[in-house]
Amino acid sequence: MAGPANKRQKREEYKSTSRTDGTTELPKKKFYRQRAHANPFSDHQLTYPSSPDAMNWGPYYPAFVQQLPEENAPTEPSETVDVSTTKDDSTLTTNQIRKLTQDVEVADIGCGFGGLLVALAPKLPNTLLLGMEIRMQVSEYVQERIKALRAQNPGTGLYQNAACLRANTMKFLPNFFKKDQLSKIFLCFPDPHFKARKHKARIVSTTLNSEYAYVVRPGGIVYTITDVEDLHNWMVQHFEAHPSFERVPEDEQEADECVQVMRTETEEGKKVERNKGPKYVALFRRKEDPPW
Amino acid sequence: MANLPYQCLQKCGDILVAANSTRIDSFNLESGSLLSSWSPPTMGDLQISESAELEEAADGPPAKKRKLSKASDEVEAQADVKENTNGKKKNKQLNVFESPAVITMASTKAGGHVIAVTGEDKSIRVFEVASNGSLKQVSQRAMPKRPCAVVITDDDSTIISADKFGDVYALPLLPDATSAEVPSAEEDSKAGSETPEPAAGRLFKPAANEFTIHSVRNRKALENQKRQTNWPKEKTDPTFEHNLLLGHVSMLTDLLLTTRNGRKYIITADRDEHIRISRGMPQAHIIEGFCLGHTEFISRLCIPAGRDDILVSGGGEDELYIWDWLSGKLLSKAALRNHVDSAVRDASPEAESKKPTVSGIYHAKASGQDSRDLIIVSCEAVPALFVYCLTAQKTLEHQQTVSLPGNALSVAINTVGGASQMLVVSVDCIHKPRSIKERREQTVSCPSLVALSVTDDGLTEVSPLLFAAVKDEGALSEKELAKLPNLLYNIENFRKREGAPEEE
Repeated sequence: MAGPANKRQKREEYKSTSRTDGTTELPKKKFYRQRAHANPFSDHQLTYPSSPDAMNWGPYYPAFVQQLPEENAPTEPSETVDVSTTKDDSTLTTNQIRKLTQDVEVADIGCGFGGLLVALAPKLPNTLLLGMEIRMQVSEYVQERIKALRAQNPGTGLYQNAACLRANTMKFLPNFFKKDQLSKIFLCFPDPHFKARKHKARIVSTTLNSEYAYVVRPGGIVYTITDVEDLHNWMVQHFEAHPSFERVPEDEQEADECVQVMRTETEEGKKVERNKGPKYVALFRRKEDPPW
Repeated sequence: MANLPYQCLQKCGDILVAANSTRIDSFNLESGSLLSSWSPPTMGDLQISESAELEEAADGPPAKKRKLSKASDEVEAQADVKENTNGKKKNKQLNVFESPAVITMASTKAGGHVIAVTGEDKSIRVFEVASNGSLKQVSQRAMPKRPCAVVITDDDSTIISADKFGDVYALPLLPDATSAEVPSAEEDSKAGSETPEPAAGRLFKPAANEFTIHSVRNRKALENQKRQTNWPKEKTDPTFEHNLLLGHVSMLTDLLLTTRNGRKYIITADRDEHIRISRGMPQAHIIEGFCLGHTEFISRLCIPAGRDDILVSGGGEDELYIWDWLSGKLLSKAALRNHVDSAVRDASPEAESKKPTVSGIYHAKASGQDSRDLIIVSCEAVPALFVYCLTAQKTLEHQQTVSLPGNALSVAINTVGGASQMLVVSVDCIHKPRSIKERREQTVSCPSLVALSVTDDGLTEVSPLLFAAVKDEGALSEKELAKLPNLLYNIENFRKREGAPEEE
């Protein structure tokens, strides 16, 4: 249900003024609220690259864009043949995309309002982090938040390594990342989807774990945290049942600096803290593929 | 006087198996003579021979019946739901009495069995095909979701089924006779079931608690949940052996099994533009790569026999894609839309140009000196076949457009005497060419099967008498005819709608 008309109007007003007056103030969450559930099976009006090579990361990480090479630099031989580019120049071809100096290595899937992303960015300054969020308003908030943080810290390069985009990762994860590209995936306080007939909509399942295994390199880690015990057990059961993952032992888990950040810095984590709720953490390491 | 068109053709040994709505006919491929017909038992038969049916399908009650009883359960459970929802349920119940139509088929290499998927009851039916062409249903298994594509492994032992929900299951060709007796819980764990449900009858415990619920409204809902006692039973998994191999979060549209360098692979295509390459069993959980680049749904995949490094894919786009599938590299594209347009315009010049919808991609080897590899493509609601030559440079060159007396529906390819091949094409003899709704004049007769021979020069029609002996049906009921468009032309529905409402 749509909110009262003046609520939407205020939101529009707020966004149009804040976009134009070049403020460095953090965005206000109240103008970006959106209902907590999104249907991952429906066809949202999403923009996503047709393949990782077609993704233009430049606008997301402007500080990490490669300097323009010499004018007639040879195209990389590894590039796929794209017959269409010869006839059709309306779309951005792989050659026109400004490459980054490094690849995105950390994905926060369902990043929500971006608490983890913002807390993690200064701790991993040399790594590119990407928040992915299916709700349009919320992803817009995180983008504004990162923009403001970058503006508040000029010259330091702080927060230049964090970005957020709207995506349905359950459908389109391999459109963004190549095989073995990621070193960490965070799944923080995902939608529990309590009803059994909605379990396919859960962010962790035997079949989806295969896609996580595809984009995460061997040795990489999938982090999960939830306040719903039932979902925690589900995630543990499904990752442990997947031959490509093994659970990280507890001592190792507690020694990981990301775990503390995940417990205290995510929006949901703070909310659970206030309600004195439980938090269940589980980490899973990507194993090497068996011989073939 | 009229016949229903055959929506699916499948070659099984030297027999052609053709499904026409709910009936399955078998033909001798050499002579084109009708061998036998199989029809599903009607509801009346079912009630009489219920026990016999049970024995025959060793894997539980007939799916049709089960769905019926489930539907009535639901109606009871939701006795207080609004009037119109109730009406909807009743409609569903009525449909159950009708026989389900075949949506796809596959056959064993040895030729002894053919499997058919029936849509409405989500069932995989296995038939024994006798040398005289008679069909005997030996198993009927209702899958958790409707299968969209089925294949049988090279050793003829296992059915691989890809479904509408994105999951791929493996199940033995014939269910183990003992498996029906195995308690379902044990079966489930053995099958690596994805959704372990709490045992039926156990007291329901909400997964949420006071700590996880924050808003006033949700707290209230939780309290209500705790008070509620008559929990509807969750759907349980089928009791026969079925293993989940892999899954997409998208509707699957086609499935291939292939071997390269001695390694087996499973290739799956979905409505969200992905072609996924997974390892074969037992390592199907490992994704080797993707072929990405399509910008619309993919509906069909084809790996030409003998050119197994190449994958041809097509869907709702203007072009066909040719891949080096193992590396995920796009090798080339081949134009399709202009050929479709000109084929359509030949018949009606004012026809609008629109994006084609690929309904079939087949490979045939031409007889002749070069024994060319031909890729034959059919599109929905187009009365033609598009013949491409697969060159040594791994490109597709359009060679010929073969016009047909009606919209192409399905193609079966037969090798005659080892070298020369013959194509059997089923055409829509009910609707006008290029239309999915408009019916033909009753007086104009149209064959439902057309035979074409394959030579280096292309396809040529062979004796029109072949397959002329299609069984006469008598008058067709309006009800049957009204259901046809949905059965024959359902791929266009995969296309995403522009400007779908954005939820807040």
